[in-house]
Amino acid sequence: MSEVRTVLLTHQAPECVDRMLRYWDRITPRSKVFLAFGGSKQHFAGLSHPHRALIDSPLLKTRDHQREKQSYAPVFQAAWEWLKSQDCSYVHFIEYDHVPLVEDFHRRMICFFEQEKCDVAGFHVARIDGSSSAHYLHHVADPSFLRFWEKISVRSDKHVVLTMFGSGSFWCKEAFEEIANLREEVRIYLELFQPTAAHHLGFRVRNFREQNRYVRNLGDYKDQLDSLRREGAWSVHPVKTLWNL
Amino acid sequence: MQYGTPAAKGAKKLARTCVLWVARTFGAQLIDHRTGEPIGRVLILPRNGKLAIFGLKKSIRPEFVPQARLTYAWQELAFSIAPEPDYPNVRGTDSSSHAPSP
Repeated sequence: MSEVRTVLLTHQAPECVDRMLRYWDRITPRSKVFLAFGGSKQHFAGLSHPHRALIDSPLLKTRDHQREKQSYAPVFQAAWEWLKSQDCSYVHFIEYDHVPLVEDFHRRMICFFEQEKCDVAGFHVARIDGSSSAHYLHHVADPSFLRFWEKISVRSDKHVVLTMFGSGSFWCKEAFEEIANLREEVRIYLELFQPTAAHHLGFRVRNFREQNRYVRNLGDYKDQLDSLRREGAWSVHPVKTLWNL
Repeated sequence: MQYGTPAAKGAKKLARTCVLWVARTFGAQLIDHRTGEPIGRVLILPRNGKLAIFGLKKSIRPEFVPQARLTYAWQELAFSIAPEPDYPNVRGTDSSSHAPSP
């Protein structure tokens, strides 16, 4: 799928990254992969993959990701520096512990895009304004949060807030570019920022829906990959220790 | 910001775990009134003129249920799971005319 470029976010040691890239060889050519590295400078120096960037930003390196409002802005910005020279239609962003289980993963995502006529797709995508979502309630307590969307939105309802699981998402290149270049004037947790920004910039955001059950925030699916693949999973998250073998 | 002693933090965490266990085991079973999908068991308690809801695992939206028979005596507050967005792409168009799909 030469139309797709993959942005892989990892922080692991070089030998783990190498194992991960060898696994990903069955999904996409290595020349189409960009490594966003959030680990140590020492480990970064040990990487051999040519398309890579060290992401050494406090926006990324949070401990309590939700309360500190972790941001992937530095990751997207670094990836865009590489992507802008790439002749592609789609960008697949994915974390190291979100593992594809089918070799035609990208083809399936493109088919989904064509069926849904969307520009951004992810897991556990929902509209959460007016809801009990803890993330929404925490953000909306700060008036500058809604003022930010009022400022940038091209939509008639400027208070729509979306959420999208952060471990993996699929973008048309134009949407990825817009989000990568959008300055976060207010600190916003990435799971709210990415889909809400895409929505308010006019892009269509959709939910992978049937695949949601295979993408969770807790646990480790390492011992269930084959059974989940047989069940129909395109990918699973989290698989924390697969590259450690 | 004060975080308290380790014992206080531990006690707080234990209390939180107990309350959530009680809520999710014995609490009221909420159901999405639009789809019938179970939302889960929660504990609803009055607090400072509001209702505190303990035990939610899904993001839900409240709404008062329409009543075919006019009554002043009681109203029902129902809940639905936060919906998927289904908005069109409006880039390069007049955005004011676009409304969300139900």
